[in-house]
Amino acid sequence: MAILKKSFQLPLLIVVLFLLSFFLFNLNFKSKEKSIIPNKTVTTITTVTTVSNSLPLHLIIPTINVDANIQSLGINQAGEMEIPTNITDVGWFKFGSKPGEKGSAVIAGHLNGQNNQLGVFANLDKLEVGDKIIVTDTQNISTTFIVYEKRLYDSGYADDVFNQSDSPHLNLITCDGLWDQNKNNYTQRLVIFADILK
Amino acid sequence: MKIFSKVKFLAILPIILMGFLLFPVSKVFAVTPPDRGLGAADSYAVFGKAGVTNDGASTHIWGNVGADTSSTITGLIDSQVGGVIIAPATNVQTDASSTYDSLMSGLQGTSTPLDLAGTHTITPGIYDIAASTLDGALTLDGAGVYIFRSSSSSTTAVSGTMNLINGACASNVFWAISTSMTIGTGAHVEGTIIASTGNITLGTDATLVGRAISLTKSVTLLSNQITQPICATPTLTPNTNSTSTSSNSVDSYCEPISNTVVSPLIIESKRIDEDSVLIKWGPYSGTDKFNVQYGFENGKWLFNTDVTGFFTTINDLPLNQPIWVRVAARNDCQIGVYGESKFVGSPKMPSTGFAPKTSHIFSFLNQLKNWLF
Repeated sequence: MAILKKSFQLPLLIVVLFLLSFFLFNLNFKSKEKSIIPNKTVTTITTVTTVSNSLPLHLIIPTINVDANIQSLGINQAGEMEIPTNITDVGWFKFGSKPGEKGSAVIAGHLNGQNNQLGVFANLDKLEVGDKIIVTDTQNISTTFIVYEKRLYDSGYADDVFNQSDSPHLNLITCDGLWDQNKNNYTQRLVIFADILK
Repeated sequence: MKIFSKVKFLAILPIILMGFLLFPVSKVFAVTPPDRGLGAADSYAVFGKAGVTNDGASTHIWGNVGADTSSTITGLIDSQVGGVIIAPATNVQTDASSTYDSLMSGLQGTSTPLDLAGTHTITPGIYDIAASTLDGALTLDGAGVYIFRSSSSSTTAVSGTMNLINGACASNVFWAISTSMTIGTGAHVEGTIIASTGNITLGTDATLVGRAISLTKSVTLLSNQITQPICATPTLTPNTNSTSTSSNSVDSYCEPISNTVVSPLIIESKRIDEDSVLIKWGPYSGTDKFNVQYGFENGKWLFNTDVTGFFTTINDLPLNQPIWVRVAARNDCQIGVYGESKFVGSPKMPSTGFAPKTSHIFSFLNQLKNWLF
């Protein structure tokens, strides 16, 4: 009887331990399955951003005889959008959307030059609702926009000029208002809002 | 005697049983791959044993920068580095070297040949990219480990980009490059790059979410943004490394985000000052826990932060730098669908005019006077 008891003890312990570990393992396996499934359900709805390599190259506004090269501009030390290096080119804000892409593509041009020559956007205020604006890119694709609004802003921040997100917009900016001698800046900005021609 | 043989059989039985049961169990745990931990190299975003050269004031590195000798780190100032510039960077080379060996080890699993050219969507695995060029969009779809092995030099061309979706995370992406790697102008790459015998070169405005580690040569930068890879979600490990975690992971199950939770939309944004931007979103649809992703280009989500509530101020941005932002609902283990991305923190409008010349007006008045009289 004593022999029987002794010889049973060790194997029994092993079996119990083993079954316990197997049970734990199974439990773990199940829990892993559970946590994978909900993650997978998310997968189907995520969107992938498409990447286009083209850059805007040329701006044409027939009604005010604008036919200008487009420079790519960033932000200067003062926190303003940079300006084109000459008064005949216009500048596209490179951190925003490209013309034709969803969002606000912003293009700025000079009102005048240092010696009071007419800038490329000197006649921007003559644009009327319904006028056409055409942008061609480095892949020779033209996109046409139609003016739908003219608005004056005080100089400074204007998020709504830069961040519409519903559809492709093109917004043109130039100086307006009065010259502020102290700030060395015009008091207002004229913004032309245009929508993509569908 | 009869009793004894019965006892003997009973004693052997559990061992036989164990043999059966142990087999599938040991099979699961035996596939543990060699360690991919980076050791001392973990906190480094850029390491070039022979040096780090930067050209471009807009370069910014979130993480440490290191080399063997300080004189070989050129063109970088402290404010361009989120971590610290360290030389000599002790143990980085040896630790990254063993990670490289581990990534190249057959024990990681079998590799699949992959030509990077064109557009691909791949799932976690080990890919032999030979000497192919990433010139399109490479999408990593799903949580897990991605290892890219290059038998030759690997070049990422101008338009190349990477998208990580559905739980794929840059900290689980590795590039084991036997010679050198060039990331072209404007390209976007994610993952830890370890180049064994050659340089790592980043072209103008190229971005990297990960690390650039050259074990023998140097790293060259040109107006780049390099971010350390931090996962937004706890990633599921593809292989269970030890049985001891099994009891803990039972607790890790959590409910998926309810179907009634809608993707948040950014309803208001404004620049607070030159390095911070406030954003607000909504609507409330059952949760107030969100994950906010942002980056300098739409689709390149370099950073993320968890927020409880419906607004946040993003600080410590590069001065006057607008950002793209999107928001998703989250819980403790899952992130929902991100709402539409929005461009926020736009700059002041440009100053596109010069002072009107008074002389011009005078000459005009003179002309008028001449004409009238």
